[in-house]
Amino acid sequence: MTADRQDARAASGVGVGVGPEDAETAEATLEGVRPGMAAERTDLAWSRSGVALLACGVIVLRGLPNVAGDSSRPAEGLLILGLGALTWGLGHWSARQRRTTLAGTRPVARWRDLAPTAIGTATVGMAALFLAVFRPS
Amino acid sequence: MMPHDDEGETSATDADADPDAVVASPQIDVRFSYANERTFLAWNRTALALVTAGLAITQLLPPFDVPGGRRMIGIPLIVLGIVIALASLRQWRLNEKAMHAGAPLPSSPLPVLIALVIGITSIIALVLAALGGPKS
Repeated sequence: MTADRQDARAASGVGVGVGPEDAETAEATLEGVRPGMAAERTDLAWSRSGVALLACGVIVLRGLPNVAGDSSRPAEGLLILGLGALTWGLGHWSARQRRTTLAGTRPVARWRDLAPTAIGTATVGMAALFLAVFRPS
Repeated sequence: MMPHDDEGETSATDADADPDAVVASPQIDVRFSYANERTFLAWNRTALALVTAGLAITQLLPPFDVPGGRRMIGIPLIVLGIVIALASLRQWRLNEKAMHAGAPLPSSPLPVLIALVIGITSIIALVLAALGGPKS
């Protein structure tokens, strides 16, 4: 189990040479202080997810006038923009809050941290499916 | 199955059943949990992109020569997006559970699923493109 982890770490190149046995040398480096930058990369992933929703919202809000004429849907666009702002703000914030778990007192993410994101995307998908099936343009 | 845990309320009995309630043991490397979370987020972005693409195809493109052609491409993409959004949450949970139990990570059906659906949809798109008139 521990050996598997070491192998995975070595294979991915993450944290190579910063195992407990190298703690003394690693302390001095950024890698040692923040191994693999895992928490920061996770923050950034939340930001990306928020930006993806914002981009999606802008397209729905404005439509694609060059492709499809007047195809803007302001209400739906604003709703998706709101979801994007929530994901960026709340997701990023909660990811930072959860960083304290680097001390190892509780799991890094819980069901309730991630479920709203998944259910939000699925809901946007259901709405899109409804439009595609019942309201083809 | 919404969790109801708060810090400090963990009991040994539900620790096996509910990974949300498990207190991380010191030997578990939190980097793997972070990686699991990022994987979930990446799938979620993929799902969103699929839904957006499907919506754009059905709502924004001018009609194809073949009746219902836009929906033949768009609807599978949207459905795939919905399935991935929910299945990736489940996969995150299974991975987290396995890591806490020290078990091997479960295999994921998502790569095969996305490859199949995208492949089949691409074939439909190819056929539609071939059937289109010389103008299009």
